[in-house]
Amino acid sequence: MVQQHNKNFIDNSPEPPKDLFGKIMSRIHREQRLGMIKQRIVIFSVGALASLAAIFPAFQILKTELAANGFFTFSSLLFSDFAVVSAYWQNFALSLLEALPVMGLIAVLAAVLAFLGSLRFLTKDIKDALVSA
Amino acid sequence: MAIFLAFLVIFKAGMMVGSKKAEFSGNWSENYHLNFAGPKEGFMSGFEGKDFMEANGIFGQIIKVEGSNIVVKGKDDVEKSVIIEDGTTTIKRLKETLKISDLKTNDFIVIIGEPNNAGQMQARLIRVMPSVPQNGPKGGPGLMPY
Repeated sequence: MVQQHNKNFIDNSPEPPKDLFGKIMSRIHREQRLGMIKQRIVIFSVGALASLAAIFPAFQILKTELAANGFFTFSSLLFSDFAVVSAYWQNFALSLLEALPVMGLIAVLAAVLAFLGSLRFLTKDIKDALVSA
Repeated sequence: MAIFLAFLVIFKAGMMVGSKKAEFSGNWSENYHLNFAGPKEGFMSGFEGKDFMEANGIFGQIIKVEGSNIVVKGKDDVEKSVIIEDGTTTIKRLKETLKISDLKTNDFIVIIGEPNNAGQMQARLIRVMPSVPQNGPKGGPGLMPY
Protein backbone atom coordinates (compact mmCIF):
# COMPACT_ATOMS: atom_id res chain seq x y z
CA MET A 1 0.00 0.00 0.00
CA VAL A 2 2.75 2.37 1.05
CA GLN A 3 4.92 1.29 -1.83
CA GLN A 4 2.10 1.95 -4.25
CA HIS A 5 1.57 5.39 -2.74
CA ASN A 6 5.26 6.24 -3.07
CA LYS A 7 5.30 5.05 -6.68
CA ASN A 8 2.29 7.21 -7.50
CA PHE A 9 3.93 10.19 -5.81
CA ILE A 10 7.18 9.79 -7.75
CA ASP A 11 5.38 9.23 -11.03
CA ASN A 12 3.07 12.22 -10.61
CA SER A 13 5.47 14.67 -8.88
CA PRO A 14 5.96 17.97 -10.75
CA GLU A 15 9.21 18.46 -12.64
CA PRO A 16 11.40 21.29 -11.31
CA PRO A 17 12.06 24.08 -13.77
CA LYS A 18 15.11 23.42 -15.90
CA ASP A 19 16.83 26.66 -14.86
CA LEU A 20 16.31 26.09 -11.12
CA PHE A 21 19.85 24.84 -10.55
CA GLY A 22 21.31 27.84 -12.35
CA LYS A 23 19.10 30.20 -10.36
CA ILE A 24 20.13 28.63 -7.04
CA MET A 25 23.81 28.79 -7.94
CA SER A 26 23.62 32.38 -9.12
CA ARG A 27 21.79 33.33 -5.90
CA ILE A 28 24.49 31.63 -3.84
CA HIS A 29 27.17 33.50 -5.78
CA ARG A 30 25.31 36.78 -5.35
CA GLU A 31 25.05 36.24 -1.59
CA GLN A 32 28.73 35.34 -1.38
CA ARG A 33 29.63 38.46 -3.38
CA LEU A 34 27.36 40.60 -1.20
CA GLY A 35 29.04 39.19 1.91
CA MET A 36 32.46 40.07 0.53
CA ILE A 37 31.29 43.56 -0.41
CA LYS A 38 29.90 44.07 3.11
CA GLN A 39 33.25 43.02 4.57
CA ARG A 40 35.07 45.45 2.27
CA ILE A 41 32.64 48.24 3.17
CA VAL A 42 33.42 47.71 6.87
CA ILE A 43 37.18 47.63 6.23
CA PHE A 44 37.21 50.74 4.03
CA SER A 45 34.83 52.60 6.38
CA VAL A 46 37.24 52.00 9.25
CA GLY A 47 40.16 52.95 6.97
CA ALA A 48 38.47 56.15 5.84
CA LEU A 49 37.58 57.16 9.40
CA ALA A 50 41.07 56.35 10.71
CA SER A 51 42.81 58.26 7.93
CA LEU A 52 40.40 61.18 8.34
CA ALA A 53 41.22 61.24 12.03
CA ALA A 54 44.95 61.09 11.20
CA ILE A 55 44.75 64.10 8.89
CA PHE A 56 44.20 66.56 11.76
CA PRO A 57 47.25 65.68 13.91
CA ALA A 58 49.37 65.34 10.74
CA PHE A 59 48.24 68.79 9.64
CA GLN A 60 49.06 70.14 13.10
CA ILE A 61 52.56 68.63 12.89
CA LEU A 62 53.01 70.17 9.44
CA LYS A 63 51.88 73.59 10.68
CA THR A 64 54.27 73.45 13.64
CA GLU A 65 57.18 72.34 11.45
CA LEU A 66 56.43 75.04 8.86
CA ALA A 67 56.56 77.67 11.60
CA ALA A 68 59.68 76.17 13.19
CA ASN A 69 61.51 76.03 9.86
CA GLY A 70 60.55 79.63 9.09
CA PHE A 71 58.55 78.78 5.99
CA PHE A 72 55.86 81.35 6.80
CA THR A 73 58.51 83.94 7.62
CA PHE A 74 60.34 83.42 4.34
CA SER A 75 57.17 83.34 2.27
CA SER A 76 55.96 86.57 3.89
CA LEU A 77 58.96 88.31 2.30
CA LEU A 78 57.19 87.86 -1.00
CA PHE A 79 54.61 90.40 0.14
CA SER A 80 56.86 92.80 2.02
CA ASP A 81 59.90 92.82 -0.31
CA PHE A 82 58.64 91.70 -3.68
CA ALA A 83 61.18 93.70 -5.71
CA VAL A 84 64.22 92.28 -3.91
CA VAL A 85 62.76 88.79 -3.75
CA SER A 86 62.04 88.78 -7.48
CA ALA A 87 65.60 90.00 -8.18
CA TYR A 88 67.03 87.10 -6.15
CA TRP A 89 64.24 84.64 -6.85
CA GLN A 90 66.58 81.65 -7.03
CA ASN A 91 67.90 82.23 -3.50
CA PHE A 92 64.37 82.88 -2.33
CA ALA A 93 63.00 79.71 -3.96
CA LEU A 94 65.82 77.65 -2.47
CA SER A 95 65.25 79.12 0.99
CA LEU A 96 61.57 78.16 0.72
CA LEU A 97 62.42 74.65 -0.46
CA GLU A 98 64.93 74.26 2.37
CA ALA A 99 62.31 75.33 4.88
CA LEU A 100 59.80 72.73 3.68
CA PRO A 101 59.28 70.14 6.43
CA VAL A 102 59.58 66.81 4.64
CA MET A 103 58.28 64.60 7.45
CA GLY A 104 55.24 66.79 8.04
CA LEU A 105 54.42 66.85 4.34
CA ILE A 106 54.80 63.07 4.09
CA ALA A 107 52.49 62.60 7.09
CA VAL A 108 49.78 64.87 5.67
CA LEU A 109 50.01 63.49 2.13
CA ALA A 110 49.96 59.89 3.38
CA ALA A 111 46.88 60.56 5.50
CA VAL A 112 45.09 62.42 2.69
CA LEU A 113 45.94 59.74 0.10
CA ALA A 114 44.82 56.96 2.45
CA PHE A 115 41.55 58.80 3.06
CA LEU A 116 40.89 59.43 -0.65
CA GLY A 117 41.81 55.83 -1.53
CA SER A 118 39.50 54.42 1.16
CA LEU A 119 36.72 56.75 0.03
CA ARG A 120 37.13 55.66 -3.58
CA PHE A 121 36.88 51.94 -2.76
CA LEU A 122 34.08 52.62 -0.29
CA THR A 123 31.89 54.40 -2.85
CA LYS A 124 32.59 51.70 -5.42
CA ASP A 125 31.63 48.95 -2.96
CA ILE A 126 28.48 50.78 -1.84
CA LYS A 127 27.46 51.16 -5.47
CA ASP A 128 28.11 47.44 -6.09
CA ALA A 129 26.16 46.51 -2.95
CA LEU A 130 23.16 48.57 -4.06
CA VAL A 131 23.24 46.98 -7.52
CA SER A 132 23.59 43.46 -6.11
CA ALA A 133 20.87 43.87 -3.47
CA MET B 1 52.72 60.63 -17.34
CA ALA B 2 52.06 63.97 -15.60
CA ILE B 3 52.43 62.29 -12.20
CA PHE B 4 55.71 60.76 -13.30
CA LEU B 5 57.00 64.15 -14.48
CA ALA B 6 55.88 65.80 -11.22
CA PHE B 7 57.66 63.04 -9.31
CA LEU B 8 60.85 63.62 -11.31
CA VAL B 9 60.71 67.40 -10.75
CA ILE B 10 60.18 66.95 -7.00
CA PHE B 11 62.96 64.38 -6.82
CA LYS B 12 65.34 66.67 -8.71
CA ALA B 13 64.43 69.63 -6.48
CA GLY B 14 65.03 67.49 -3.39
CA MET B 15 68.41 66.40 -4.70
CA MET B 16 69.41 69.98 -5.50
CA VAL B 17 68.34 71.32 -2.11
CA GLY B 18 69.95 68.39 -0.30
CA SER B 19 73.28 68.79 -2.07
CA LYS B 20 73.29 72.57 -1.41
CA LYS B 21 72.57 72.00 2.26
CA ALA B 22 75.21 69.28 2.51
CA GLU B 23 77.83 71.45 0.79
CA PHE B 24 77.07 74.43 2.99
CA SER B 25 77.07 72.32 6.14
CA GLY B 26 80.43 70.84 5.17
CA ASN B 27 81.93 74.28 4.50
CA TRP B 28 80.41 75.63 7.71
CA SER B 29 81.95 72.92 9.88
CA GLU B 30 85.33 73.04 8.10
CA ASN B 31 85.57 76.81 8.56
CA TYR B 32 83.99 77.01 11.99
CA HIS B 33 87.23 77.88 13.77
CA LEU B 34 87.94 80.61 11.22
CA ASN B 35 84.49 82.14 11.28
CA PHE B 36 83.71 81.80 14.96
CA ALA B 37 87.13 81.37 16.60
CA GLY B 38 86.44 77.89 17.87
CA PRO B 39 88.83 74.98 18.37
CA LYS B 40 91.21 74.05 15.54
CA GLU B 41 89.62 70.68 15.00
CA GLY B 42 86.33 72.41 14.34
CA PHE B 43 82.97 71.48 15.74
CA MET B 44 82.21 68.53 13.51
CA SER B 45 81.80 66.24 16.50
CA GLY B 46 78.94 68.41 17.76
CA PHE B 47 77.38 68.43 14.33
CA GLU B 48 77.11 64.65 14.03
CA GLY B 49 73.62 63.31 14.00
CA LYS B 50 72.07 66.65 13.11
CA ASP B 51 70.32 67.55 9.90
CA PHE B 52 72.12 69.61 7.28
CA MET B 53 71.59 73.32 7.71
CA GLU B 54 69.84 75.69 5.37
CA ALA B 55 72.15 77.37 2.87
CA ASN B 56 70.02 80.12 1.34
CA GLY B 57 67.85 81.43 4.11
CA ILE B 58 68.32 82.19 7.79
CA PHE B 59 65.95 83.53 10.37
CA GLY B 60 67.04 84.18 13.89
CA GLN B 61 68.67 86.57 16.32
CA ILE B 62 71.79 88.66 15.79
CA ILE B 63 74.37 87.72 18.41
CA LYS B 64 77.29 89.71 17.04
CA VAL B 65 77.85 92.64 14.67
CA GLU B 66 81.43 92.99 13.50
CA GLY B 67 82.24 95.30 10.59
CA SER B 68 80.47 93.99 7.53
CA ASN B 69 79.86 90.62 9.18
CA ILE B 70 77.10 89.61 11.50
CA VAL B 71 76.65 86.38 13.39
CA VAL B 72 73.10 85.08 13.61
CA LYS B 73 71.80 82.41 15.96
CA GLY B 74 69.37 80.51 13.79
CA LYS B 75 67.41 77.30 13.93
CA ASP B 76 68.64 74.74 16.50
CA ASP B 77 70.80 77.50 18.05
CA VAL B 78 73.39 77.15 15.31
CA GLU B 79 75.37 80.31 14.65
CA LYS B 80 75.91 81.45 11.08
CA SER B 81 78.23 84.08 9.73
CA VAL B 82 76.61 86.51 7.31
CA ILE B 83 78.50 88.89 5.05
CA ILE B 84 76.84 92.17 4.19
CA GLU B 85 78.02 93.86 1.00
CA ASP B 86 77.37 97.49 0.19
CA GLY B 87 75.27 97.83 -2.93
CA THR B 88 74.29 94.18 -3.00
CA THR B 89 72.59 93.69 0.34
CA THR B 90 69.29 95.37 1.06
CA ILE B 91 68.50 95.86 4.74
CA LYS B 92 64.91 96.76 5.60
CA ARG B 93 62.86 97.55 8.65
CA LEU B 94 59.27 98.54 8.02
CA LYS B 95 59.50 100.66 4.88
CA GLU B 96 62.87 102.24 5.66
CA THR B 97 66.17 101.03 4.31
CA LEU B 98 68.86 100.56 6.93
CA LYS B 99 72.65 100.47 6.99
CA ILE B 100 74.70 97.75 8.62
CA SER B 101 75.42 100.13 11.50
CA ASP B 102 71.70 100.16 12.28
CA LEU B 103 71.72 96.44 13.01
CA LYS B 104 71.93 95.69 16.71
CA THR B 105 72.59 92.62 18.77
CA ASN B 106 69.38 90.76 19.70
CA ASP B 107 67.53 92.04 16.61
CA PHE B 108 65.45 89.31 15.00
CA ILE B 109 66.12 89.15 11.29
CA VAL B 110 65.28 87.14 8.19
CA ILE B 111 67.99 86.76 5.56
CA ILE B 112 67.93 85.58 1.97
CA GLY B 113 71.37 85.06 0.48
CA GLU B 114 73.96 83.03 -1.32
CA PRO B 115 76.27 80.57 0.47
CA ASN B 116 80.01 80.82 -0.18
CA ASN B 117 82.85 78.33 0.08
CA ALA B 118 83.90 79.65 3.47
CA GLY B 119 80.71 78.43 5.13
CA GLN B 120 79.28 81.95 5.25
CA MET B 121 76.26 83.50 3.63
CA GLN B 122 76.43 86.56 1.42
CA ALA B 123 73.23 88.37 2.27
CA ARG B 124 70.98 89.71 -0.47
CA LEU B 125 68.05 90.77 1.67
CA ILE B 126 67.88 91.31 5.42
CA ARG B 127 64.59 92.18 7.00
CA VAL B 128 64.55 93.22 10.61
CA MET B 129 61.50 91.87 12.36
CA PRO B 130 59.30 93.95 14.62
CA SER B 131 59.42 91.98 17.83
CA VAL B 132 60.66 88.88 19.53
CA PRO B 133 58.46 85.90 18.70
CA GLN B 134 56.79 84.39 21.75
CA ASN B 135 58.19 80.92 21.25
CA GLY B 136 61.38 81.81 19.45
CA PRO B 137 62.55 80.51 16.08
CA LYS B 138 62.21 76.87 17.19
CA GLY B 139 58.45 76.89 17.31
CA GLY B 140 55.48 79.14 17.59
CA PRO B 141 53.84 81.10 14.87
CA GLY B 142 57.02 82.33 13.22
CA LEU B 143 58.13 85.85 12.51
CA MET B 144 56.04 88.05 10.28
CA PRO B 145 57.29 91.25 8.70
CA TYR B 146 55.46 94.50 9.13
